[in-house]
Amino acid sequence: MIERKILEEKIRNLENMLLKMYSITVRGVQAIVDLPSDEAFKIIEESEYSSDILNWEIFEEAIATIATQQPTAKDLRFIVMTTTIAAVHERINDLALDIAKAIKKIDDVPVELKSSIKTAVETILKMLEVTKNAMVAHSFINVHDKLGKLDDIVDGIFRDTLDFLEGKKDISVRTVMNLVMILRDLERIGDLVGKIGARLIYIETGKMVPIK
Amino acid sequence: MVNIKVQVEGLSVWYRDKQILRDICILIPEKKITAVMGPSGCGKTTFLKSLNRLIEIHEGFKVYGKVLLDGKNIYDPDVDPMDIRARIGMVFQKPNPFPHLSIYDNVVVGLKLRGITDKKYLDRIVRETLEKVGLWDEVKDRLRSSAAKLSGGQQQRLCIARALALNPEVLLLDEPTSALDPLAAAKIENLLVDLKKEYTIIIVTHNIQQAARISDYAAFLYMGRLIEFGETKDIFTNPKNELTEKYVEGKIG
Amino acid sequence: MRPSLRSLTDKFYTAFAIFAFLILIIPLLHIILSIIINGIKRLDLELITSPPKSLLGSGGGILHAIVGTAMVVFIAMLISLPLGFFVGLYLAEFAKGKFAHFLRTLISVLAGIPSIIAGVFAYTVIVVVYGFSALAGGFALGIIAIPYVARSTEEALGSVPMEIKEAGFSLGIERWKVVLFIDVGYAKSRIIAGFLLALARVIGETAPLLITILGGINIPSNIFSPANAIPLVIYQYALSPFGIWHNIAWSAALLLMIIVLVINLGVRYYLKIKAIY
Repeated sequence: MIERKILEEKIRNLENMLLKMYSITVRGVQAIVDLPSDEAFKIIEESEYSSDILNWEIFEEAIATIATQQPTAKDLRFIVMTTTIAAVHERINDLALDIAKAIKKIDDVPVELKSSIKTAVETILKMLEVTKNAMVAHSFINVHDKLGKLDDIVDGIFRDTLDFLEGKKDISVRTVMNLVMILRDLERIGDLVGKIGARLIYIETGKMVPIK
Repeated sequence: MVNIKVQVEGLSVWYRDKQILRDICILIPEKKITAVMGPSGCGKTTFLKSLNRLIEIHEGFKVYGKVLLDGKNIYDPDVDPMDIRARIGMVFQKPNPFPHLSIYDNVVVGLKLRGITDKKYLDRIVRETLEKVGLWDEVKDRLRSSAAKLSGGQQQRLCIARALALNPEVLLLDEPTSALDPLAAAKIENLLVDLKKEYTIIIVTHNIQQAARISDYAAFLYMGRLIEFGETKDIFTNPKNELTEKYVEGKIG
Repeated sequence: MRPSLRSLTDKFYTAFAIFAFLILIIPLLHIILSIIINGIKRLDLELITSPPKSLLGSGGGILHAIVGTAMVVFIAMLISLPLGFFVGLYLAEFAKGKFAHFLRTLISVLAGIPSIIAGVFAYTVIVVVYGFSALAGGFALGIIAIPYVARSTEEALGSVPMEIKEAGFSLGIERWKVVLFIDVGYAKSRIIAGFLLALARVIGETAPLLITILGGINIPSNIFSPANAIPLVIYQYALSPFGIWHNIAWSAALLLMIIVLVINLGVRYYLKIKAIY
């Protein structure tokens, strides 16, 4: 067998960039729990900024690799999917910043919802870890099921929040709207991590399996 | 920052009353692979042969301009072309080992004819260079048999070993895989990627994909002119010149 | 299907070609068969191991002529090989322009002159001074062989591909070393084949020997003594009135034919086994 040294090196490089992207996202999402502290807000802002830059770097590297190395089959799936996974990460960091801004506008988040947000964030972090482990180990057993179940938890939190807020009459409409947006965004982030999982499975198997 | 190994300044080459190369200026970085691409007849091979003065063995060629190797013009009157050709090795399109010589002698013929006869030294060079080109295990038991009996890919690797035996600084390759099957070609490509750790490599090719795969820098020659030169990834993703773009898109050439 | 005009024309020319071939081959076959039929009788061990006997007895051989031929051809090769080789080498690798043209014309003229002229030249230069000798004969044959050796060497070196020369130069080797060690090495088998064919060409020469080696019945003791040679023996014995001598002449002719044939076939076989590239 003939190894394609340059192509393999480029693929490793893209893998590393993706892992870096993963840690940026984890850092940003984790900080949501510590809001509204200025420090947490700053971390989220940084994550949003650096994920945007890294996203473009991954694009460039992927395009150059495709143009120069003529990858095919799994190599090609990996390189193309790397770009879409990077874009999803970038989007997650955008949403995290939206959440941070919304929390800033609220004077006082009800205690019940604070713990809901915390649970949602922890679940999302678990989902992210599932995707990372799958990518590092190239093992996709149960990834689909695990992500699906965790995403259901995040979805459930969002529905519970809606129910909870419906019964509350002492919170201003503005606050309610912001709280809905925050949990809606967390629910979206859960969906997006699911999409990352689906793309990883596609890289490995060539089959599209939506995670919802 | 990369070092410049070969600097070509205003190189023009005429064959009788026809101008083959027009005012080429290019900076070849050290220990990188630089690919020179272009359609047939664009002057690639002439360009390559101008870099080690091999062009001078052919009648009717006139060379103008400078080729600086480590800052010294190789066309200066006090420079011996034999030394230049030993410092700048060359591998040709068609594998051309000397068929009347053994594998062993093919590797060291350059050294022997330059007066080196120390058997131990020659033995060591044969082993080292054949190992370097990945041929040692295949031929170590038949070093004394004719080089003509090797396969095309093996012959080409032997030719690379022959050039490396003189311990050159620069290695010129003129479409080294165009006469080989894809597998043998892939082996040569891998070999070149390994060799760039030690040598400055300039490869002429009309195989755009090959240039893309292995080179760090790429030059595009068209009708004797250097149209564009830059990092390979830029040439292949975002060329500045419209002709280059058409060429790498496969629309001309 | 009716034969078309084209196929008729085709058949006509094929028939004509076969006819022309037969006209050519019949005399040739006649010569070969006569030599074999008449020569086989006395082609025995005695022929090649004994000197001639007196006229009265039967038997006797041509050992003196075989030794003479060996001597003469050896001297001829000694003269023509180095000279012809270097002239050919010069023409193939270095000669340019008018002088090369002049030299090539000279070689052609030399190849075209009647061999007796070479004999006359050897006669005036050597025989007149030192007398009849194997040396004089070898000198004459050497002159005849030079253009053949030169031409075959030039052709052999001309067959060296440009890629091989380029490969040599690209190793930083001087021109004369490339020529001598790369080009000549590459064309070695063809050059040797050329030598052998030149040898085969001169071994049957008779005319120049007539006036240079005298041709007696003694085995030459050294290169300065008169000698005989196989073709000369054929000539002399064939012209004699004796049947026994006629038979020996036929056998000598057969022997000469076999020698030339062996050289030619040998060269072919040699080139074939060397033609691995």
